[in-house]
Amino acid sequence: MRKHSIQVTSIYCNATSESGITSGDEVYLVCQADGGLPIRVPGKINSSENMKKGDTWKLDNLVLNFEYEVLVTLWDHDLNYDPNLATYLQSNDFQPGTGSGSKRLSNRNGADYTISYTYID
Amino acid sequence: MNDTLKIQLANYVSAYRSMPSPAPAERPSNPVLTENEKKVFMEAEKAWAAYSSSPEGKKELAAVENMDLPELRAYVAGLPDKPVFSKLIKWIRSLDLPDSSFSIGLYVEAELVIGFSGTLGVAVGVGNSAGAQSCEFLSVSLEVGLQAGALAGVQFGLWNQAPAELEGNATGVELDLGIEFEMSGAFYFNTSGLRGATLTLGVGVEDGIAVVECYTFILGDQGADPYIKPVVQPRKSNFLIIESLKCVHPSNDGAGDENEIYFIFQADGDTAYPYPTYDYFSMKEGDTWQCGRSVWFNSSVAVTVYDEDGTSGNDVVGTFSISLSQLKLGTSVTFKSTKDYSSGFDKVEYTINVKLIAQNVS
Repeated sequence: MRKHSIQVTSIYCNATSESGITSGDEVYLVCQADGGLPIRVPGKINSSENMKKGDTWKLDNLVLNFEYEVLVTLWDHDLNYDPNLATYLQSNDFQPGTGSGSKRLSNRNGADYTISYTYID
Repeated sequence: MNDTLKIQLANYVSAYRSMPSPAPAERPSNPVLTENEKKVFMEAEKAWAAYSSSPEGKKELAAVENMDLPELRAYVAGLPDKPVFSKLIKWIRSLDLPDSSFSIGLYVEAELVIGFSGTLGVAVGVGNSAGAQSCEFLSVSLEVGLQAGALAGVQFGLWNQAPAELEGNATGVELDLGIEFEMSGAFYFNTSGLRGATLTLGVGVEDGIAVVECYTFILGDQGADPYIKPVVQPRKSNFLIIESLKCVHPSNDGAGDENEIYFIFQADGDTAYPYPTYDYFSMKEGDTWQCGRSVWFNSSVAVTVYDEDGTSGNDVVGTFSISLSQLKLGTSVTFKSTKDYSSGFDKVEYTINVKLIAQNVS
């Protein structure tokens, strides 16, 4: 069983979701490696990153270890913390050999983000 | 603990981890139990000893190891009706207590990437809430260094809230209950102040909780669309990724030319998982959603794609059946819906791309 890892370095906001009630999106990530127990970022069960157009969220050493793949999902929770009311923004699945770089993730509700990452091994 | 229960509990842990952290609560001074509260815990211990050593208790506790969450919940919900606990609760209700709930719960520890513990319990009204409706609850906490995978014990609690008000965050701190038998005691508090105290049997005092953050879910009638959506999958022999879903032609649902798409995937007829776990992804004709949803399976995966329509129920816009024999390791395969959902001028069509990424995983 070979483990791989990728580091998500930043999220850049090209545009926010139209559905946001507050100013900007309240962004958080859910990272699920190999279909297992997901982790939430920001961690420690806590808040989100308020993002407006032009903002960069620099992630502090977010290294994701996985065997086959790790699915990173961007969410916007706006004012209500009920997960049933969270807004799905987009997602990206990283696999071995993904390489380093960035990827633009957008949806038809106006959300447009660029996720940057470094493939470690 | 069986894997099914572990996965089911992990979904609650996952939901807990996606919540914002509560405001910091000021730790109250250690509570001192009243004589009646001490008596409650001592009599509860005796009742548990009587039940767990009875032929009925032995048989039922042996069966617990193989129960899934709904079965375990039904078992726990039935505990207050057993004669030994029914008598205990009747007696507790006759006491002058400052508390509003008394709970009986099974305490389990598990590990799935991280360690967590859970107490699946039933709370009944006592004191001023003696007439209140009982409720079932699940408390979860994240812990490291657990002796994983065991039914660790039984937990009794006395709470300041009525049963239906037990939901929410709390911090637990180890507490000497002043009772002389092997058990671990704790008290819980949050921003509203002291919540209650627990006694856990079957866990050595040295394994006590020290300090722990936990969240209590009230388990309502969640029906077919549970509040907590499943997300953690059990490992199986094969692993595929639903790489993308393409809208060849959307369904005309009367709300424009855009569909609000989510899908349900089900491996080998087991748990049905939604994706996105909550919400949807809007799609128009020609759009491709790079959803990247991985799925563990043994022989087959069923995928049903829905257009969420808040006014008239959700419409199925594609049904896919994926068998291991149709896949080749590392190669993307396009699947068409097994059923044509077009009608009249509405030529709805979606396709999915699937890639097998691991096979015969031990």
